[in-house]
Amino acid sequence: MNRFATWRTFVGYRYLQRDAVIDAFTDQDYHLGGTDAKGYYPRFRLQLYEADLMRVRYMAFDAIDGPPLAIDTWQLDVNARF
Amino acid sequence: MGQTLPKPALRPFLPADAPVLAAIFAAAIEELTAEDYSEAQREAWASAADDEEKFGKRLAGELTLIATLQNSPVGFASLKGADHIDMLYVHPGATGQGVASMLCDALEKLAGGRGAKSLTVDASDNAQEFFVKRGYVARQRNTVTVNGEWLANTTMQKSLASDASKGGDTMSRERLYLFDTTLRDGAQTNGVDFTLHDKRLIAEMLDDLGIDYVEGGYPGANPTDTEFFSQKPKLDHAIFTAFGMTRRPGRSASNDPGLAGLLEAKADAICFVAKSSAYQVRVALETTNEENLASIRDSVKAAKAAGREVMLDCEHFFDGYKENSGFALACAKAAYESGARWVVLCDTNGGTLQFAAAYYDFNHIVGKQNTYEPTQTGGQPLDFTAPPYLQKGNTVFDIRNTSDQTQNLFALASEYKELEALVEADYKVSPKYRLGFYADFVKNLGYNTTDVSARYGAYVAPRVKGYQSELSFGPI
Repeated sequence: MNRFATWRTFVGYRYLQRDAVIDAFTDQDYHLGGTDAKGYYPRFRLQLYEADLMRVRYMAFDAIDGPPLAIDTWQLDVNARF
Repeated sequence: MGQTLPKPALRPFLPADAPVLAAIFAAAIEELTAEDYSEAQREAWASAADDEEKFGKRLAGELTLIATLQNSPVGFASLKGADHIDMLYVHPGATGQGVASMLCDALEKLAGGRGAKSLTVDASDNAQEFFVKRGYVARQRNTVTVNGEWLANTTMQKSLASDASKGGDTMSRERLYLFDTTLRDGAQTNGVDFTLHDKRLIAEMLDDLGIDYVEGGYPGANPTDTEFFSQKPKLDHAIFTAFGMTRRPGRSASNDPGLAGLLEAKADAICFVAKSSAYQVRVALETTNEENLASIRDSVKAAKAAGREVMLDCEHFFDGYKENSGFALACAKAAYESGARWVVLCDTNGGTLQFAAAYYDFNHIVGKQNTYEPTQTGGQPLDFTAPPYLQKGNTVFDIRNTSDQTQNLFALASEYKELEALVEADYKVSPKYRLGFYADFVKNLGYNTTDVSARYGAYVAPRVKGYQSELSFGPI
């Protein structure tokens, strides 16, 4: 944290059956929102002075029980300060 | 009830006190200085109080304080001008009870209050040890002639710089100061994301609660914190504090953008974080112990020069002390001697493990089937039981009685009583790297297969579990 720049890499797995939680309140990024979704999401974060400089996330999700619906999402988030 | 020792108290000098103080003066010299001065010397010295009127004038002409035990004077001390202790005497019957220390404490504060940068005293040989313990340093040896007797004493001096910086604050050991880090540490909790407005409200609430220091965050770390520090929140008494790092190794304080951002922040105090473990300095900062100490000194001085109250968090202090106590203490001392008001010894450790559980019970969430035909007047009175917003996934059913699919209105078929548990762990796998683990489990206890299937019109198997887990890796 005392460095000029630091980074962190993540890998996650999310599995959410259709009636586990109220779909309206779920994160809109994974499977573009809702329940009945499972998938992996590697992500990477680059920080400069503890401020997020860049975040990259890939999310590969599929439906669990419902009709096949695969949604893969790339997210690139770049922050700048002036 | 056990007997407790009476505590000394202080009060100012009154002219009527002169005879009692003269007696204390004579008794103290007679009984406490015999090891260092001859009888003739002591007599000559004590003769200064023979003329009580003259002695009283001397006391009245200076700032004289009297220490009492159960309302009886047992000692006194006087401050000449702003920066010289003229007299400090305690009756031989009252020594060893902290009377002299109390008097000396008070004079040091008063001298600070009068703007003195240092305090001097011409200490007799028997008192020298007392003053040395209090941080006074011998400056010169003097001889004085009193009534033909030759007496020696030592001029001693103590720098009040660090004490004076406390701004004459009435510090006492009984006072506990509360420092709140909700707006920084709290903001690092998973799922917490304070807006600027949230931060302002929370700061005001902490102020109302009586918190002494409200740490607002880390200016420069993110846009919210930077903006939060662009304007001081309206706090009645809490000291608004900015958090940040000391200057980076190899840079001057004036040439470090991180430190500059911290100094620009509209805050009353700055809390620096610095490593106080030689191992961490070498491995994580990749610099030398000397450079780390210089970084602490420069940063504290810069903040002090900018008019801020300064505190230093000594990270890894306890691990560091075990490994190299001299260096760990030097870090703390460097901050204190450079003007920091507080030095915090942090027990930074290698990892964290947290558990949390939550239960969410949603009422009136299940849709209700309308009983009217859509063609009837009055229409569909239970349409409101359909949520205005759905994403996708939950089992829903049509609550309108119509075969016209374009008229369908979907509502939730199940109750939701969500039980959630999460565990979060963070481990230092090497001096440079950290491994994090997070897992979250949820189960909907409100799901009733019979009820849901009845609403849906066909069997719906329970699919009510969820979990998420994440592994992270990166430098500390």
